[in-house]
Amino acid sequence: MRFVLRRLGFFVVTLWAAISLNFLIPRLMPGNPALAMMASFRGRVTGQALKALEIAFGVNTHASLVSEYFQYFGDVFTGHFGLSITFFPQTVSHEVIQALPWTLGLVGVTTVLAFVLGTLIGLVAGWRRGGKLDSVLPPVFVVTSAFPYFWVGLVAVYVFALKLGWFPVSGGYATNDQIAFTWHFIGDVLRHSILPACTLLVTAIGGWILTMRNTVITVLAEDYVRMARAKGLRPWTVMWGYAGRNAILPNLTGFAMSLGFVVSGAILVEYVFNYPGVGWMLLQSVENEDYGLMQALFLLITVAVLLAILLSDVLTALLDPRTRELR
Amino acid sequence: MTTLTSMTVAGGATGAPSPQRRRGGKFWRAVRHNRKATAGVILLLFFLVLAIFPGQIAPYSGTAEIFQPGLGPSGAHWFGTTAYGQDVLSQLIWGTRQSLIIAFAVGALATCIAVIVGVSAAYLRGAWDGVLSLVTDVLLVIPVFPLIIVIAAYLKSAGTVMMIIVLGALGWSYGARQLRSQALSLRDRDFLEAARVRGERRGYAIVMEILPTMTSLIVASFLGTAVYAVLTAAALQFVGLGNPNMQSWGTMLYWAENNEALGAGMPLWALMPGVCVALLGAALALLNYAFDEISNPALRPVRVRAQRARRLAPRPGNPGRDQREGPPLPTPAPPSGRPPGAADEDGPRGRPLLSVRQLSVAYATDSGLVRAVDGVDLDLVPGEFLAIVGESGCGKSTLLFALARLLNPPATITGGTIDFKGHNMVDMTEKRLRYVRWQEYSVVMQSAMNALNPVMTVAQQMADVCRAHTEMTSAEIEQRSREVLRLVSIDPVHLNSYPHQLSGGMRQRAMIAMALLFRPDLVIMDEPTSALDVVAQRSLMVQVKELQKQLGFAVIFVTHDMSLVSHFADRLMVMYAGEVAELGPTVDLFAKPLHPYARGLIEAFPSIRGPKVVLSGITGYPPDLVSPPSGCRFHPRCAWAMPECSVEQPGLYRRGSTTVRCLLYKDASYEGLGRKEELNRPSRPATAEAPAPVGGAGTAGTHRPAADNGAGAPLVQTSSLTRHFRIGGLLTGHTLHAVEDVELVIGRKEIVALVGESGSGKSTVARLLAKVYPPTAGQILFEGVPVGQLRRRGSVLAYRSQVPMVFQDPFSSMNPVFRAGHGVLRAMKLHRRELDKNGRHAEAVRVMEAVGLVPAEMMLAKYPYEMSGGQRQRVGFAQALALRPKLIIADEPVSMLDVSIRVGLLNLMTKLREEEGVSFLYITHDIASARYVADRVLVMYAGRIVEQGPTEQVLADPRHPYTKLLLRAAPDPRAPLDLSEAADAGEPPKVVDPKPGCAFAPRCPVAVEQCHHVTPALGEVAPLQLAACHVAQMEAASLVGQRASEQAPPEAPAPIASPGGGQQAATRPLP
Repeated sequence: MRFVLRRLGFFVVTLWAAISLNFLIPRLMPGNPALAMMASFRGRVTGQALKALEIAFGVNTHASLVSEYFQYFGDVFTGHFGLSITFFPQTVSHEVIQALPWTLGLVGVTTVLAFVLGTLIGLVAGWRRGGKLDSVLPPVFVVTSAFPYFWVGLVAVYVFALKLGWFPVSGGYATNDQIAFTWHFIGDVLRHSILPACTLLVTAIGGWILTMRNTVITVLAEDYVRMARAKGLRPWTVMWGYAGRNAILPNLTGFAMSLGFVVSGAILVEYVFNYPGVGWMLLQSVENEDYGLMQALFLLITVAVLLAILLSDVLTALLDPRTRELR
Repeated sequence: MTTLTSMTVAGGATGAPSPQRRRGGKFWRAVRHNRKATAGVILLLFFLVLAIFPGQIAPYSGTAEIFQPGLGPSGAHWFGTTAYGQDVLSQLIWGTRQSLIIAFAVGALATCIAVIVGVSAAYLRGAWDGVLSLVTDVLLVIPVFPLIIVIAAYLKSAGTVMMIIVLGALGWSYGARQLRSQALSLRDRDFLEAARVRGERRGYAIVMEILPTMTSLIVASFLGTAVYAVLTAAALQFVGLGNPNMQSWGTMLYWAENNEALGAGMPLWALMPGVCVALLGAALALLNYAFDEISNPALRPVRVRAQRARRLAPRPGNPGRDQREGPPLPTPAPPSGRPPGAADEDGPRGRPLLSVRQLSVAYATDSGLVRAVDGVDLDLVPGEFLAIVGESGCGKSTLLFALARLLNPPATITGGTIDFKGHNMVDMTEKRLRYVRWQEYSVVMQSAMNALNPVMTVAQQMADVCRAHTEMTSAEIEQRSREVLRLVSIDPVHLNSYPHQLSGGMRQRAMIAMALLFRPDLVIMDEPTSALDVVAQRSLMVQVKELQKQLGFAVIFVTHDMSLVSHFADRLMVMYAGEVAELGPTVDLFAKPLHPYARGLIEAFPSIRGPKVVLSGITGYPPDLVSPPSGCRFHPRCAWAMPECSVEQPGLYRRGSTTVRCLLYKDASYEGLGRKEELNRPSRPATAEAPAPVGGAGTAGTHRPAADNGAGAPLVQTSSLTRHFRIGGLLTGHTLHAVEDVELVIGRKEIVALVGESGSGKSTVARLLAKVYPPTAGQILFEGVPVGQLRRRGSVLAYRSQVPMVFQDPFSSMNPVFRAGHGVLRAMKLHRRELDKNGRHAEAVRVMEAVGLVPAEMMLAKYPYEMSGGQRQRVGFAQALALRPKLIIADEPVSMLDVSIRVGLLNLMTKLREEEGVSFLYITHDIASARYVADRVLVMYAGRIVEQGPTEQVLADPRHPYTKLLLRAAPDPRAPLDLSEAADAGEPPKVVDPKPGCAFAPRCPVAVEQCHHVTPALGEVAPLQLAACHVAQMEAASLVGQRASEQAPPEAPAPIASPGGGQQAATRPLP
């Protein structure tokens, strides 16, 4: 389990780096935008919100940078991010927790789905190399994976919501709905999620198909696949147990490495569809100069990505005996 | 993302990026042939034109609000107008520039950072590497886009420059990671070490040697980052984080979104900028992907080629007919009327198990159709051991895989029949074939490391094949698996091991066990021993032979090492250029080879016994199978070639139970090859001289005393040379004792051989002498001067020029992007300053000729991929020679070459010693070749020298049990087979944190109690012969004692004299 422990160490280091960045960015920016912003807010928000801002930016405190730094870490780990300006007087943590399920539901599910589907299609395409699937898919997906997520979203909105009217234009649920666990509400949520989910799926799946196809082709040239054929195994067994089992390992690493890209796409898709998730909230907070909320969201996204990476590392360790005993 | 990881570095003969001069032409041709690349280039050019001449192309200004707002598409406004009355098309055109600037600037910036970080991390290693790769990885997993949003939020409306800086500073990590791993793999390639040994500065090595070989990856990184930059910049502007007054596609999207353009009847305002972003991104992505395909041939579309192969070589329905194009063969007329090659003439051995007729295999390449196997006939009776031998590229493995129906596309069977136990193997469907596979015949592959599935345990891999063919229960499967493992003497506890947990020999044996699961009638083996050390090789062969006796299966065994199978094969089949050259009983073939090629192969092996003869090998190389020579395919290399050989295709002729494809035997009275000098052939090159007993001075292997030139100090002398490596993590580290206490003396004009199995530390000794790294302890004296004390660059360079090195792997010791002359000229530029450009060139020609690369001018201008392995290795010697060295360190210079070529290089070493007065340290695992060239031999085991002395003396009378083991394992066709030797399954240990005691003791048949506790030092066991063995020394001492007692009163058991310098008492505890 040394491998997983090592990855855990990496996780901690990265988390530390992200929190430090979060701490440093506002303090390093030229012309101290924080002060300017505080001035413009002075009439609009109450003392408590101001206090939150002050903590976030480290203004009006006389503590040293170092002690502020430790103070900040303490706040982060106890979830004290102050109050939100956008959703005043709610606390930042409260708002973030509100947005989280939406994103997890939409982005989490579609990302995993895109990875699983893409890997499967890629496996089949690589296995039947030169077949129909293989001659059509790669060129198509080379192009689609270059499409900007938000643009695909815009087209989807235009065609399926505005022109055809099949799906709602935006939002996570109809505005006149009560948030409750009723069949009606759940159906509504699903209906709202179809377009953004498809957008994410269409744009994300191409990459997985292509990488998997290419690794499968490389793996198929390996001796152990030839050996599996020589053994007279069922083609199914060869494809899964030999080609697939081995080809998925680099793909899994690739998955961990490109989660950052996936997140960026998700943020934009949420923005296009006004989907009440973390990404949408992030851009809202930017628009409203709600820096406290913004930074908390950034941290949340980082942690989520890191957790997903850790998970895929564990999966890699389970699938690949060689990683389990690294040196 | 495309898989940058799968990109190949200019490596072997295939798939190497073509070098500079030709690269341009070849590259563009590749681009034109690649549809993805063509599309990408056209798109990119289109946008480039738009970006450079927007004023000329755009119908209107992009900013002027002069039209009616919200117009739909029309002739005047193709894409309509904006809500502010601007022309959408004009805005698009004006916006191109900004996107392209961002794409290229970010691509360039990020790639620069990636190259610097990646390459320096890989090259500096150690702590620097740790820090740099940690930073890279952290940046890689932190979600960059939200981070950019946060930064942009603070910066407020970022301008182009700011955006480039932020995107560039955050976007290099992926490229850096790729470049680092690429550079790491390059580090291990010998051409970098060659540059180091040559005395190049570090900076030169990075800039001139590493970067050019990474071009493809750098381009890929650039294109990848450019795509990312275009998309991210557009996204940032779209969500309002850019400067809203800028003319760009992203800003257009921003305004369109703000004005709800989609719903307000101006859809093109919102959609077209996205189309542009997508097209530009797609153009770059297509280029990237196409580049990947061009540099990694494995990914190229395959269907076209397979079809072409089939079209070019139509598959016939009628079996047994010769499918060769051109005039029909003179009918191979076996005198008996039976099919040629049939074994059944020898007696009633029964119906053949396998019967092959006129089998042909071909595959299409860019340069044409390769007929890898051409009209092969073959019969195999049950229980027979047939070996197929030949140089690489002669179609041995292809034939084997065709028999097993395991050819990978594009190779296909293009003609002939295979009858195996009544199955028509050629036309059988994969589905039906499945039931024949493994139950009736099984396959053992070359490298078990690659042939066993790395993610499954041995048990799982045995179980899946059992389940595929039988209804066995889990318990039955386990029992059977245990049984077969015991058959090959592996402890069944290893059932639950993964392949990487087993040693090389064990893996290979496990694979053989797997092949025997169903007791098949035929086991097909493709060089199963070539990845193993001599000792393991021998024991595996013995094991196979015993199993065969016991279980009665037939074996087809492919190998390039003829002497290996000499004792094991019933019959030998010599293949040349896809055809059977000779097929007959092994004993006959070795005793009296009929085909000149077979004879050449046999004569290419130096022997470890008997009189020494100068060998000649075979001149030239196997032909290109796209257009093989006319007539007899061997005639260009043949010493017996007659005029008609280049015209007439030889048939198969019979002599006794042997068939041979050579026109000499067309005349039924011709009975066999005479001595070569009987041929009246003045045109033959001097290398094809008659084998003659070694006589006077100046011929191979002349025994001479060490350091006999009376010049005082020997050329090189080491004392207690020791090198340890730290392995493992910081806390859990161990020390690998790669070289321990080595005392080595090399005299002037002396060839010293250092012999040992892999991992014995012999290459480390070479690298210590070449000053690749310093010793942990001990010192090297070169002409009496301590090498470790050389500090000034000048004196280090001077040392390097006198002690150059030739590397093992001819495919990695030359930088693929430079011509052959590069290393030779660089070496002179560094070390022979007195030469001007013309002088250097003249000298380069001289050394190329000295190593036999003629015409020298032409060879100097060749690229590595245009040369064969043997030629590359000669370039290595030429580079060394250009320095006017005193000692050349040759690290396994022939081990990766075909046997036919090896002898030529060995002869070159003796020639250079005579003509140039160079000494050699010849490092090898092949004890026979050491005997062929070396004056003295040193045997290494586990980091120590265990025996040394004059070559002839040591080989004739080895004293150390390890030397004895090595000699027994060395294949020798001239010695009778001795199967009674117990198979030694041991392997040399890795000396990690050693305890006192002889490292060989666990494997040693004669070890005594002392051996396990006390490390033996080298001691004299015979005049001039030293061995580090308690037993041998005691025997020697008792001999001396006996002799002494005849003259003088007996003494106490004497402490062993150790004149070689190993004075430290044997009881000295180890550090």
